[in-house]
Amino acid sequence: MILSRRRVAPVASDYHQPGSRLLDVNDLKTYFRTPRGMVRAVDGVSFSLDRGRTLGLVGESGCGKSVLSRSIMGLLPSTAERTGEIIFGSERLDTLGPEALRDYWGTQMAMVFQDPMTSLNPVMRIGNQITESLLVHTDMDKNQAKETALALLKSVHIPEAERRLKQYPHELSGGMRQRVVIAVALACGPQLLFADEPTTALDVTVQAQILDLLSEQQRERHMAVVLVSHDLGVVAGRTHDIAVMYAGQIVEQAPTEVLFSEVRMPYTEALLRSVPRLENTSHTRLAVIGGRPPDLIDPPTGCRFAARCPYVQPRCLEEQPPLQEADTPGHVFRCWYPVGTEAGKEALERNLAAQLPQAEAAVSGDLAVEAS
Amino acid sequence: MAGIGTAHLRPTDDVLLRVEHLVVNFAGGRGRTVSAVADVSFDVAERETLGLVGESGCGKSTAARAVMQLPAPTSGSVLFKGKDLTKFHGEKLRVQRPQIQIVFQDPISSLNPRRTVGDIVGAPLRIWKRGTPEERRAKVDEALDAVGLDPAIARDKRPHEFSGGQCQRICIARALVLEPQLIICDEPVSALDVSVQAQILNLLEDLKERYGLTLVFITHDLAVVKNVSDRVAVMYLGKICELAAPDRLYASPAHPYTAALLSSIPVPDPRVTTLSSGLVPGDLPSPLDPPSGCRFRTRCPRAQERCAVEQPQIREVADGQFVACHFPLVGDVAPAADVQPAVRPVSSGGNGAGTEASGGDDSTPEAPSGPSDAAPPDAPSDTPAGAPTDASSGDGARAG
Repeated sequence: MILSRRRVAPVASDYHQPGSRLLDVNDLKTYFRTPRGMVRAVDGVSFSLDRGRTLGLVGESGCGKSVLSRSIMGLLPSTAERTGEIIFGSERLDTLGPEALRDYWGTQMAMVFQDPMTSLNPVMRIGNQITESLLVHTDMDKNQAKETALALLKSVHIPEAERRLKQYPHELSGGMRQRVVIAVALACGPQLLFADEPTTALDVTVQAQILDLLSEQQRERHMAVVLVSHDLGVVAGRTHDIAVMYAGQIVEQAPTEVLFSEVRMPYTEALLRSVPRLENTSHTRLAVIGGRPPDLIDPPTGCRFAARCPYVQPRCLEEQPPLQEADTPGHVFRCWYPVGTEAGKEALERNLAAQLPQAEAAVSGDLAVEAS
Repeated sequence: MAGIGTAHLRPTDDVLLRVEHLVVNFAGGRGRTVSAVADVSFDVAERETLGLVGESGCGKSTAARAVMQLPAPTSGSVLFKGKDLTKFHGEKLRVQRPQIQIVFQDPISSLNPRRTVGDIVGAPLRIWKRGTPEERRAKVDEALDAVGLDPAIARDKRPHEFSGGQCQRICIARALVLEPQLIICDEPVSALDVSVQAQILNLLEDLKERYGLTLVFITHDLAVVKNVSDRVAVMYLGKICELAAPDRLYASPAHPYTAALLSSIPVPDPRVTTLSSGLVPGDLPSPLDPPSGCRFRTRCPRAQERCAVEQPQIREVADGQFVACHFPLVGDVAPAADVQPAVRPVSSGGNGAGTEASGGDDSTPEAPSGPSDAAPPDAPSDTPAGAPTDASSGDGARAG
């Protein structure tokens, strides 16, 4: 590689001042060319992330959450067209080509993928998979790299790390493989880690172990983490902020506790209600979100959630709501008739009077929740 | 865990399905045997939903498929309406099959992409030569309507034109069309988004009510299983650990594994802090070489010497709550006192105390029923609070 090689920098405390900005994304759009037309997978997303913070990215499948993280990393197929600004540290990433980005992958930003079975090379020993990036990105020689790999395996709590270095992925369980994937991602000391549904393929007890491991590594290394998940439970306890995505856009973003206590966007509210809760008695009726997400080739002109929204009003079908600030700093949402406001309440009442099905479903779900 | 025994079975007259001492072994290569289901017994009463829950590889799907004789179990009996299905073969078994249907996890791969939805849902009727073509068509329309699809539109489309949730509705319609009495749902919502998952769960509840169905609901998601079930059986490595009504099971789990599973669930509420130390360490042991005695003992915070030697029998620790554990978390001894022996692992004193506690359980059924009803909010907070100390010692034991 021509570009300067980066060392695995030991964590220098002055370098990682809390509150300092690491990532800025402005109006990011990622469209995919398909025979039917352009699919607007990510359509105007802006957010920023400070060092050492965790952002949860939630939404249903197809909402663009994975494409968003891959767009930032620059891991897109050739059918994709990306516009918008991505500022990492003080440098623009969106203007860099794949060759230049290689200098960032691994050393500055890394990714943990969903399926640990397929993200490891099945015919390569665990040890070599970890040392590979160390040898490419740093000045380490083979012995140093091997020792670092051993230390990494120990730090992700893999028992008998010495023996594991010589093993192949199929010899490990799913949870162990995901630990290896995390070790590979952390090898060169990235400052930003994308965890794309890191526990979706794992069992619930193993999921808890892996999420703990990620939090622990984040604290120790003072990394920023983007935790992508469809499971609100996974992001609730382990993030500083949560961004809810729907149909390629961020529809609500807030500090985690604020999001759960002061929901403004009807979609977030609906998502929260449709999850079966342990505290409810059995056979509790679940609130449902009727319909399905809009076609991203030809998204509706108004609010993208309007067709499924219990609060929908004529204005929602015509005008797209902008991302507006709520009372709490850092809380933004897209809605004309937000939940928990007079306007929202009146809108819902009007819809109930008109016997709009999605409004009735939302309310009957509500009653069931409160009755328990 | 590792429970054996049939203490939890009800009288045969009341149940639609009664599975006794079910064993399913697979060849593991090199002459080894995978013990996928090892002496499992359960029963399902008519119009009841039994939830089978556990981690992947615990044998929950295998057990349910063995009920359908897909494949036939290695040993044990499957009494469906009093008839032992394991004794039937060939045509005799085939004529029993319409009464038990199954809905699989992945709705898209379980539908033939080249057939129309009308064909797919009508196939069971054609195979069984039920009625005239017109009658069949009416039946198909009725089934599609019951699962919330418009028959006029859906009938002539193919599966790829539907979303995952709609495909799952089609699978359910196909299972319904022969009017079965028992439907086995094998992770029917695991592949679906939460919003769609809620629709399917509500739909299954409606259909159960409308057609008087009995369901066996397999899932790894404890919140889902709580929502749909009348009884929940928790499985671990081919054995049943605990069986109880969901509200009781979740308020006061008796088996350490159930407690660990419950504390592992991520709660969609940031105010609830998940106590990571309440979790079970390590991975599932290999079913090729399961641990002796209780199969959960290698990960159990409360394991004692006895657990390695003696396989626990399923017994009733509270009204309707059955557990296979030597040192359950529910009994007539206060949980705090019960926990103490486990903090100091493997001491004979601890053993004795645990045994006494368990011995007294059966004789005082009313003691646990009061507190668990009155104070469900207490119980969950109690469990994680008690578990951390245990788990840390368990972790150490495992590493050594």
